[in-house]
Amino acid sequence: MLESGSFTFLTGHSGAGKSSLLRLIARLERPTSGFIQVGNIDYTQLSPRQEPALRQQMGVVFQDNRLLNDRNVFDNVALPLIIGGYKFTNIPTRVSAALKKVGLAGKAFDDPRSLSGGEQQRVGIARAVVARPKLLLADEPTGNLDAGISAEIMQLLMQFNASGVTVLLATHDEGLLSTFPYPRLMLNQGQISE
Amino acid sequence: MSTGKRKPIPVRSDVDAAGPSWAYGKRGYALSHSLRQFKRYKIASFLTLLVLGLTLALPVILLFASSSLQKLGEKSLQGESLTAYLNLDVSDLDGAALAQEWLGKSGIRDTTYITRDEALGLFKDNSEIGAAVDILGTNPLPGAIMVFPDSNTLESSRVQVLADSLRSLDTVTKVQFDLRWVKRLQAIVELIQLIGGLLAGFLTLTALMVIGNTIRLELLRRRNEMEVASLLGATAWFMNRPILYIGALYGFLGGLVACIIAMVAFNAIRQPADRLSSLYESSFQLSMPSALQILAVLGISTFLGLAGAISSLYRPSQQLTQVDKTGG
Repeated sequence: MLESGSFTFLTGHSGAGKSSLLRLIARLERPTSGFIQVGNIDYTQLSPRQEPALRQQMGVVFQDNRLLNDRNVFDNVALPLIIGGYKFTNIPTRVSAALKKVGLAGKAFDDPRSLSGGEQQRVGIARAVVARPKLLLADEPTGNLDAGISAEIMQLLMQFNASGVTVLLATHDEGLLSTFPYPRLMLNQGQISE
Repeated sequence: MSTGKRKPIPVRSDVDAAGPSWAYGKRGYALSHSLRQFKRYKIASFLTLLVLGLTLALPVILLFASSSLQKLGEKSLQGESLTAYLNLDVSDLDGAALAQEWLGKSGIRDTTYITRDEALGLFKDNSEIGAAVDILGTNPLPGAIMVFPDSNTLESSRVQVLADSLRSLDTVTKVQFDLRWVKRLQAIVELIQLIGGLLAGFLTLTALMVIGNTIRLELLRRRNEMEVASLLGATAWFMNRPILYIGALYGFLGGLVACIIAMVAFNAIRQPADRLSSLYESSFQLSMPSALQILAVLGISTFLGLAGAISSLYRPSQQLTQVDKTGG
């Protein structure tokens, strides 16, 4: 059980099921047993048609950032807003604000491939938060980054958490876990222990 | 030292990175990304369109030509007539009245009465044994009514019905009509239409397969985008719409290329066809396709494109939008 507005680490060794749990929460997979509820939404009552709307209320950050290289940074960040059916009048200001928050003001025109690894991950975070989700799922977001940049990414996620976003961050990075004293959920062979 | 004013350096803000506003709606997004695909893979798209255009060109040429053939058939039969020979005891006055009366019958466009004397004159002029008739001392030829059927009746079965109805009249002794030309022409037109239909069917199927294959490649190319969009909460319709637009665009542009090829081909064979037609003293002319025909081709080809996209989209998209199961 996660408190609303909390910051929680999801830990466990590789293959423990961290990504699977995030995918279950994002309703990309269905549980064979058990019960999931996010806010007031009971997953057992959720129809397939309602799943996209559920995902729109979440932000997802990936280890490999999964940016689309056929478009610039602006259009990458704008994608959740287009999917959410936002009016164009709101899109440029929201994207601009999100890029500013992650420290990438002035990079909107850039090709994602021209950015450093840390910058690409920041774009991924901007994309995850641009639609102001209530829950942010981060799957090893610092996995490919060095310690300094990992700390910067953590600071960013903490900023969003401070503004009220619930963050669930999957990682097995002991350095990160020891530096940031947030509650942990330990996963071992599909079983959670706090 | 220069005193000239320096041009201010334009300052670009992040907001300026946005494309045209229409591209940020759901439909606009799909359209802009479909068009971007053509721009991004220019040569591949051009070659696909060329293949589609060439594949569709033959059915389009046959479609355009069939309307010209139809006109040829109608024009060729315009001058055709039946000749109803009357009883010898029918006077010229009664014969002319009968011709007038038949004008009111359905299926008859015009009638001309040929008096017995006119028939004799024609016989003498056109026959080598015309002088032999003088020996008889009397005119043995009956009066006749030439009956010109209307265009709806110029079909062998209907002409036959008209001929039978005239034959059943007491005043008529014989009805003469040569159906061989009508039957031959109709058989030729039917054969051409059948072959054309079969060819059009095969080639349309080929076009469908070309579009389907192109769409499958496009789905593979967009796999990452579809996965990411799915994770961000996109519906299947949102992800499939650009694919459908690409299919429709391929169909429309392929149809356009086919129309251009068909018109170039028509233009090339127009003069020789007219020359051939004049050798047969025919007024037939190969007519260029009408705007309505071109619109019909574009509509059908767009529909084909959509059908091709739907056929390859349905199962693969569901498989492709399943996100990779990687990570811990």
